[in-house]
Amino acid sequence: MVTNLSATSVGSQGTPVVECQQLTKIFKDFWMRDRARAVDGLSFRIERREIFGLLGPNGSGKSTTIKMILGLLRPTSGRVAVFGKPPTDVAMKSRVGYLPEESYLYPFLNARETLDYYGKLFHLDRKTRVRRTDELLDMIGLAGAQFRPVREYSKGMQRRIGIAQALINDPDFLILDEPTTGLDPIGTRQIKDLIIELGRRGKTVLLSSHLLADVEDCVDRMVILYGGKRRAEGTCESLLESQNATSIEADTLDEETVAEIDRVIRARSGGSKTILRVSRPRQKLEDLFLQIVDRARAEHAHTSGATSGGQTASFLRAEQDHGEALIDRLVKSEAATPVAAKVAAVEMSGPAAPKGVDESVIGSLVEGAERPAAGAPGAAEARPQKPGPAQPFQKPPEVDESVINSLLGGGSGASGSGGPHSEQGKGVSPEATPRPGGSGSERGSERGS
Amino acid sequence: MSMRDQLARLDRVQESRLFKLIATGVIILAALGGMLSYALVKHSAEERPAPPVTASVSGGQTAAEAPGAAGGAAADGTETQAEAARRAAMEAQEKSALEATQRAVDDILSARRSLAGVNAGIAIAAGLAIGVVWLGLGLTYLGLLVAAGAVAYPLGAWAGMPGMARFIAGTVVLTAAFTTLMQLLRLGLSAPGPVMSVAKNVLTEAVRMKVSLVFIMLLILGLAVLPGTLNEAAPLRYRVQSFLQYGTAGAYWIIAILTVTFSVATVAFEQRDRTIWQTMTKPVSSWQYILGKWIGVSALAAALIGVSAAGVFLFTEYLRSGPALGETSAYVAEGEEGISEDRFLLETQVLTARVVYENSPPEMDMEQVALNVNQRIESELQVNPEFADLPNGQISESKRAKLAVEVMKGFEQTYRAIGPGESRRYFFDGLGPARGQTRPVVFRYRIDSGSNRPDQVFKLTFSFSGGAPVVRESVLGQYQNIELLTDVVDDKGSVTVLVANADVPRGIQNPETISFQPGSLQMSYSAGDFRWNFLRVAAVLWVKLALMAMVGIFAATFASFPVACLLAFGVFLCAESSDFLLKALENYSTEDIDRTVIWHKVIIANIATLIGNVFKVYGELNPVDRLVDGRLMPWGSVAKGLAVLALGSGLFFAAAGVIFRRRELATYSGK
Repeated sequence: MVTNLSATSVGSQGTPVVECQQLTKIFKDFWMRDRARAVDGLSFRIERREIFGLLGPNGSGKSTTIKMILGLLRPTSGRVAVFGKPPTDVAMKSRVGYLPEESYLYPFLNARETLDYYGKLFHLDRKTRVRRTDELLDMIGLAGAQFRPVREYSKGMQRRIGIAQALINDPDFLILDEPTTGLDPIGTRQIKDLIIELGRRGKTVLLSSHLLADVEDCVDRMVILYGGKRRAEGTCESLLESQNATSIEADTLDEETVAEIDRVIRARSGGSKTILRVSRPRQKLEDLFLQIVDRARAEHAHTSGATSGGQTASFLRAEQDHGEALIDRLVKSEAATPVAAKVAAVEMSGPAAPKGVDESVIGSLVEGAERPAAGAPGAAEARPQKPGPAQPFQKPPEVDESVINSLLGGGSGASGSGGPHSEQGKGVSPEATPRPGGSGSERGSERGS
Repeated sequence: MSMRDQLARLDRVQESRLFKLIATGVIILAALGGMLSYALVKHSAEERPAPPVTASVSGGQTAAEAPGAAGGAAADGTETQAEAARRAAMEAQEKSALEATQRAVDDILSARRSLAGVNAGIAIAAGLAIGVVWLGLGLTYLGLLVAAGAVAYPLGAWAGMPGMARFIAGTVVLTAAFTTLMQLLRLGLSAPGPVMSVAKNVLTEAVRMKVSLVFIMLLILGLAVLPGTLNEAAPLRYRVQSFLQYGTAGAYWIIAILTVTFSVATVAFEQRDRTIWQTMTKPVSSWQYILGKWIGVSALAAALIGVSAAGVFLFTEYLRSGPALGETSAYVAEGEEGISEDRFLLETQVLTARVVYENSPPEMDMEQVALNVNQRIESELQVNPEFADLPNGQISESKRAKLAVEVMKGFEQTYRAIGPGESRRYFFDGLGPARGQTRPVVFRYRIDSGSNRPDQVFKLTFSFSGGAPVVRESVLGQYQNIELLTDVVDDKGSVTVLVANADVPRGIQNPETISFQPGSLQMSYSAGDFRWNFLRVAAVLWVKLALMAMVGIFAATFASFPVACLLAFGVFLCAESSDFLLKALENYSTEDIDRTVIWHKVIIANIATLIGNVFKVYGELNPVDRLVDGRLMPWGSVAKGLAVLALGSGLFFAAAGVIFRRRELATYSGK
């Protein structure tokens, strides 16, 4: 079942960059029997100047779709066009840049030779190749290692070269398949900034990623896949906004003003409506993603890719029964925590920080380079894939402390009244509002119930 | 200043334009100086008096001097007038033969000091040196060569290890030549565009990936070590032939294995490792990718063949410049003037380019064949009435045709066999161009008898175009040569050879019947220069490798590495063995002794025939055998081979392009 949260698409002027119609890919075995239905009747369009996200769990058909767009796979049925041309059109490919899920590079070339080789494939003259190679090597921070063979590079360094080669032709359409895999937090930040910058410059970008925060920060519109089918499509805003509440963004308001507004709302609605909370209610992409995947799984939707993890192997579980029982009890106890109590942790806060450019984020990412934190790619990636019972035991970020504080305080805190708890709430940065910890608790409660 | 800094400084110097210009000027001046000096030396040598006519070939065995030439003239003191006239004619013939032999020797001696050949050698060396300089490696290579010389020279001159000295010098020179050629090729392929980029990438891959490098080093070391394995005591012509055989064939097989393996690997591994995704998602079409791969592998093969051929050629010339058996120094026979027999045979049979004509049975009269068939049927029916396969004692047409084939085979066997004490004439046509040449005509033969016992030696008597009889001791199953003066060729360009299975002058006949198998009676004459022949042979070898490169690439477009290797090597071996297969099929019977058809042999014969015919042109080229035997590889054959192999490559290219275009590159079954 497709949950088309929003069928709206960003301006459909002119030929779309990518147009997929009822795209289906079935992998067959030696006897030509259907082995796996990787993509199933997928239709979507990517318009010019759009940063488009392709999301889904492992095996949901993201990479297969990208490969069909690039002509590396042929659709079993359906149609795909890039700049109005079939994917096999050679001339069209000069407008495309592609970074595969892994940087498949020639191990015997060094970084400079690699970029020179790909530059030549685009018929770039020597002067242009040299200039672009220098600039790209500087951009990705490998100018100092440019004469080392690529096989000596770390995975992150290879990823950077992969990104550089995708940009050597200054493409109109850039396809990035898991671009931040293997990159350190600084590299990840740079890639996100790069994508935003390219979007600002009018480039079209197709971004496939498991790192939902990355996608959320960059994309204009997205499709979420599961089992090769489209489960949701729309702009970030349309997918993430709460449908049952109105958010008014204003400068910081004092309590009297808020109370005054509340009185107006009550008066105009005959007392049936009131201010629920003073904040910007916004569902996180990660939550939405998990919600869609969980729903699909609950519906027993078919997928050729990974599903939720099974039980731990028996030889590993043998000595851990006691621990699991304890975890189960704790999970049940978490599940008993009223959701409303956690919501109460949200305090009135100032305007949300501009997305993706907050220095505190960079600071935390730099720290993360030294020791993997909850926000590090691996950790973030692990969450949606395996929401096992151990999750409530994760080291909770400071957000969890606010939840505990509010619980200890016993009040709802929704009114944003003064006092020690509201002060503590203000001390929490917008990014630290209950996201991972809170949602972890919520997921725990959902599983418990 | 540290060593590292000094090296860096030298590197900057050799890469500067000023250094390159100066070095180029120096090389050109040195080359011109070398050419001029050689011309002066040659001129002064030519002014010396020529050696007398009478002493030309030391221990020579030309027809005129062969022991049987005068052996038949048994003088018992009562010589009749007819015998005296015959003896006078033979003496005149002998004198004429000596004069002709002297012409051949003069020709050999003058060719030795060929100005054009030396100048070409100097020009090629200078060209390579200039190439090295402009690659920015002038001082590096100079240093390398000086270091190699500093090690090799004392070993050869003072330590009594000339073999080791040659090995070191050979390794360094071949490695330097190979790396220079590769650099030049990469420079030549540096233009932007998919085809050239892919091709250049292949060359880089070949040098930097270890598997290819192992083959390349094996080739270079093999060529460097081969001269040390030659038997110094053997006649020079055998040493040269051995070196040509093992050097050229060995190098060709190593390069062929590398070419086939590498052509498969470079395409299959790109699919396995998915690096092809990056290339094929750029504006690169299937045909451009395949063409680029093919150009790259073929360029690598060309570089390797070029280096190997240069190595073999230069060492052959080095051997040639040394003394032959029976010589005190090169081209100077022991105790006599002129050249030794070993030298003469080397120059006239090995280091030359001869056109070969094989004798074949005359066309049979089909009426006679039909008559013989009828006689055979009658005789068979008298003995066995069931011989008839149709009612009323009739014989079917198919059976008649089969009998006709047997009759013709019987005729051919009779034509090729000579009973004890019997003789038979054989004819050779098309030798017109040999008339008036200074180099001799060579009659080459091989006899078989019974089980070819190695201890048996037959004495055969030959007479060429009615000339004096020549008696030769002949070992069974081995090729032997008789050098003939061009006078034996008549006005029509024909030579008649009378072969007697006996020592006619002494009246001794051999104990058994002898036979000449197809191809074992040949007449040849010199029609070209060894050097040009060598170049043509190298060109043909490269064309064969280029075809195999395309076969390998074709196989890798749809099969994984091991499967594609198996397929490509299968094709390669079929192609290489096609000539042998076709010859072997002539003696391959598909029936047992009772004339019952053996079906599995029929299937084998059909498959072998198919393979032999598919690769017929490829197999017939036989460049290495031609080179070793001193046989001409005519430009016509080169062009024909080139055309056919180009057609084959084109077909494989088209098939590879179609398959590759239809392939889903994101799926690979070989991982």
